[in-house]
Amino acid sequence: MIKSKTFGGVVLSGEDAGKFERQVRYGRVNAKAQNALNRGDELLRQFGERKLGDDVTDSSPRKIA
Amino acid sequence: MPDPSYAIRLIDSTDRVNRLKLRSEDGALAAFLKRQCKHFHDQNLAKTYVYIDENTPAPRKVLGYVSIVVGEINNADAIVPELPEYGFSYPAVKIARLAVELDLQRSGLGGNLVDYSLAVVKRHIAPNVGCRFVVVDANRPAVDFYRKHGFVLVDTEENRKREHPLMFYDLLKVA
Repeated sequence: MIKSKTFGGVVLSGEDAGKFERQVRYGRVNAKAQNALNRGDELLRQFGERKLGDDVTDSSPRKIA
Repeated sequence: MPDPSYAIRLIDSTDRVNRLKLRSEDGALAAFLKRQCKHFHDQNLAKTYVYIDENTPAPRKVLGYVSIVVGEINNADAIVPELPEYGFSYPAVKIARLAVELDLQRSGLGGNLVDYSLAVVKRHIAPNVGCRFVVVDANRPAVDFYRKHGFVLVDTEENRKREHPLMFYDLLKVA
């Protein structure tokens, strides 16, 4: 059984839980997954690194008065 | 009017969220953007990345968006040999909402939003916080779309019959 909240977690049990574990453990490396990530990396470089960094953290050294 | 110059970025408080044209059956996606999206974003309940045309003056219309949220896959029946006493739960990020303006659908914008989200999670969240999967409750017609982006359907009869079949993307199997 699968219980999934739109904005939250997923709970697996029974056949779904077992199948998921087997797919994770024995699933082949997925070329489409790598290609999608490569495209995402390029989009991050193009649009996102500075704005994303600004939003998450600023690790540049600061002088404390 | 100059040619569009599309960009993806975090949603801004000034962005126009009430003009996204979608099919009538996708009304919930338009309603979320219009009524809840900025609140969720501001309260860190979910983060939303938007497609905008930088060649239009601010405030800019949202042409597409993806909302992602922290979650987990709690595998209640999993037996993990390394952790036999541990009620196992995988950290995950969920793609909670994804929508693109009706006239721009099938132009690759939705795919770009998914790919961008995968890169955000893989490069920024997984290495710093810990996250194993990206998951989505896919609309059934969108299952093939997510497959093209590397998502895997939990391959059980019950899941295939769900209105929104669960799909996952294993961040450990990409570099």
